[in-house]
Amino acid sequence: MTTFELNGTTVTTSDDHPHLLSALRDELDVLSPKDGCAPSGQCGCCTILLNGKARIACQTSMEKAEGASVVTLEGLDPAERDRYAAAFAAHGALQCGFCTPGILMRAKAQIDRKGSALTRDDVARHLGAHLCRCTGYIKILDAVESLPRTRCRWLRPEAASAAAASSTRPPS
Amino acid sequence: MAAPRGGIGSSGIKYEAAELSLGDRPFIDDLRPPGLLHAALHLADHARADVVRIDTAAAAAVEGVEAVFTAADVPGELRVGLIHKDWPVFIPEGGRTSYLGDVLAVVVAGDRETARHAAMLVDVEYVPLAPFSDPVVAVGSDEDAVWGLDGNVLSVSAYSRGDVEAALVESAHVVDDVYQTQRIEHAFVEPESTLAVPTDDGGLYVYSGGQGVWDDRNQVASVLGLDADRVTVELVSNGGAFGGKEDMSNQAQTSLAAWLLGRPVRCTLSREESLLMHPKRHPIRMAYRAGCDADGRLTGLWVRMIGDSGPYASVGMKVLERAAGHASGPYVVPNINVESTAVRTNNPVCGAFRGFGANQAQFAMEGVMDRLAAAVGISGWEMRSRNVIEPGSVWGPGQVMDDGCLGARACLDDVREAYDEAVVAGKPVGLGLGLKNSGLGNGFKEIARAVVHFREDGKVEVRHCWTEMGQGVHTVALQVAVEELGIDPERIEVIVDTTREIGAGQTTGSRGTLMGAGSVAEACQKAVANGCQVGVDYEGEYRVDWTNSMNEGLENPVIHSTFGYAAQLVILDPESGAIERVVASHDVGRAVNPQLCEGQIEGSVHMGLGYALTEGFPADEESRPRNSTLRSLGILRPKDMPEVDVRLIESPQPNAPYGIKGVGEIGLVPTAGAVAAALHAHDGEWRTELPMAAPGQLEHWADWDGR
Repeated sequence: MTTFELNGTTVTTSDDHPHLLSALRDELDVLSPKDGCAPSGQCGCCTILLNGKARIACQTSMEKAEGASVVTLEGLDPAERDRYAAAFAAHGALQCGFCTPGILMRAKAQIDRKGSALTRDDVARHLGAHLCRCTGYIKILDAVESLPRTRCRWLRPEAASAAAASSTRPPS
Repeated sequence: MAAPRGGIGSSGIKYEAAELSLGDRPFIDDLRPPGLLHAALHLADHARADVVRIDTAAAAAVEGVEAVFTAADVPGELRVGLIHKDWPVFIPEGGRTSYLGDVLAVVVAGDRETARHAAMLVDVEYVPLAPFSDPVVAVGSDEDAVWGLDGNVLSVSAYSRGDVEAALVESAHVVDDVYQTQRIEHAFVEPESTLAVPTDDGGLYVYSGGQGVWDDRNQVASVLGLDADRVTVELVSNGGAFGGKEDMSNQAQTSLAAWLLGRPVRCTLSREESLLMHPKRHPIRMAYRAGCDADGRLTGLWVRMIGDSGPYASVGMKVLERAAGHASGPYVVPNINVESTAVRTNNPVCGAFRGFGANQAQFAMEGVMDRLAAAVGISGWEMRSRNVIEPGSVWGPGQVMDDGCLGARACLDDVREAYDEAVVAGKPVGLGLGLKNSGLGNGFKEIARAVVHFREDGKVEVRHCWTEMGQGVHTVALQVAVEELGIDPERIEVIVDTTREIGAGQTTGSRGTLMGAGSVAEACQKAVANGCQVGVDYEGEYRVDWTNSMNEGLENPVIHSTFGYAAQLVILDPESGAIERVVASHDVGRAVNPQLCEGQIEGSVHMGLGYALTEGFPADEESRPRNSTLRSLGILRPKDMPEVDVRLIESPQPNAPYGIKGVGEIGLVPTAGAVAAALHAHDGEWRTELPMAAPGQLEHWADWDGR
């Protein structure tokens, strides 16, 4: 058996799964991470946070998941979920929407880590892990750029307040 | 009266945008009915081989496997197809495989891993045959490439006007080149998935992401040997399609398993299976001879095309027909002679893909325009300006263009300043001008219907007949209803299922917005005229049943009801030669939702730049695709995406609802030509092959120049 913390709750799953994505989708019915190419890890649709870092769930072994903190879109604070969804909707940053949940998790991980230091070029580079065939990425970058870029407090407590103060871009 | 919030012309929020962003709006693979079983397919090991024996014993013996089905279990028709019923849903013992996407068996188990593992254990005895991997060889062979199909020519589309040879002799300048485009994979991000659930009343309820759920219903019913009314198909808005989900993928096999077992069954393809199974964009070789006078006015055009259509028809003959029709681009050519052949091979099936033949033809035609411009000594912009169609012009197959074509000139004029600025700044710039029909045209009767239904709970159902695949057709339907009914968008629920007979075939050919808007508007108007009574189905329709086939022998056939137009500039960094900026001026007639419309164009430009530079899906001599992963397809990464300046032009289409023209495909029609011209401006080399910057993705065919 594999035990890890999923969205703040301790869960135990079979360790027979070929990867964490299979445990999430097939055993735990956590469906926001999508499966576009498992187990090859090339579409980014199953991106989750593993110990606060963006990771591709179909490339994460059950051994790596053991004892880890796993966060999916289901586990985000409702206000934060609304903020991300509203920014993507307002900017027309999704079309079919299959890649979008994974991209949201990537964006969150980057904003949490870099706060206001995060640039559009940074986001574009990190989006290289994601395939979006609909949008041409432009409106995705617009949406991420529009989000308040506040570092996550629990990641860098000392830097978070400074980052929050310097984050000047309100959602447009 | 104030315009209603969220009506026509407003950038209203996409339908279900928030739920989709958060991953809460289920795709088919997210649906979890009780008692669900999982199916996996066993695909062919050889592209062309006689199937001697299919032994399912080892697969059936795996613990957790419920059943293994083959062709022997099919109670109805073995073959399906959108135009020709030539595509076997299974290859039987005694049959022959015709490409690597052929299905031999479907294995059903309690979980997906078990089904996939067991599917590999299906043991098939083959006698392999040499596949036809080269369309030039196939077209000249007496041996049939495909099991059960006679000859290797799927179709020939041809038309001519005037005397091309005489015109070319008298021309001041003549160009003569052979162009070659490559096979392309759609790479929609959601792999094909189907869920079939037997119903209590002895029917079957199928959840499909196909681009035409009424076609899915009819084909599933034919395979099961049932009347169509016992099968209901509900559309689950899919995770991208671009034409690649028009044909059946795993709908029939999944439905068969559910039907025979009396249990819900889902089959979701792996990425590798998806790449093997669904139809691709046609690689086409195109021989172009064209002339102009000393002032650059086109005099004559001679075109021969050969396209690799793979084994089964899909809509391949229509793609090559569309390539032929669009051979001359948006230009006036007084003498023209075009012939386009679709060839059967054992390579991946080719069928519908955003642009549908227009991209290939106009890559070649734009190359012609730039070569002739250079010969005359005028700019690419000037060359196009001297030849662009205008109302009353006779276009391509003989169609007399209406006022809708003012959009071509409008797009051209719109990019002029940016074109001149780039030239002055010493930046290499290329221009592409293109057109793409909306709808099927060519004599097809196209009748789209919609139903508006006011419910007791205050909700208003808008039922239309098109597949939502990201393009926003649900949002268009909603905005039209808001416009016509004057109600809040939140009251509207958009539904597509086969419980009403409103189907109009595939969501294809840039027609969803045009025809969807027309049918929803009429349904709303009927509702309003009748006081919007609760519980009544108000049905509206939009009908295009007045086009002509190019084979009717008319001098001036109306081939298409509507076209969209675009001019695109590709501007390079003069030092590095990298693409710095794309200007995309698009005449859409009327932008129902400008933001979504812009998104269509940005996405198309991304796809078009990949088409021009890096994408491909070549097959080897065994007809096996060389690319088996998403990364290998050469799709441009976000950091390689240049700035795109989208400019929406609204030059209305006469007699179309709200003046709409359609935008789904045109976005990548002019792109490759513009890139080729920009690269020529940079280094002086003319390009004839796609992709232009990834040699490993090129096609390699025997010599053929159309003569």
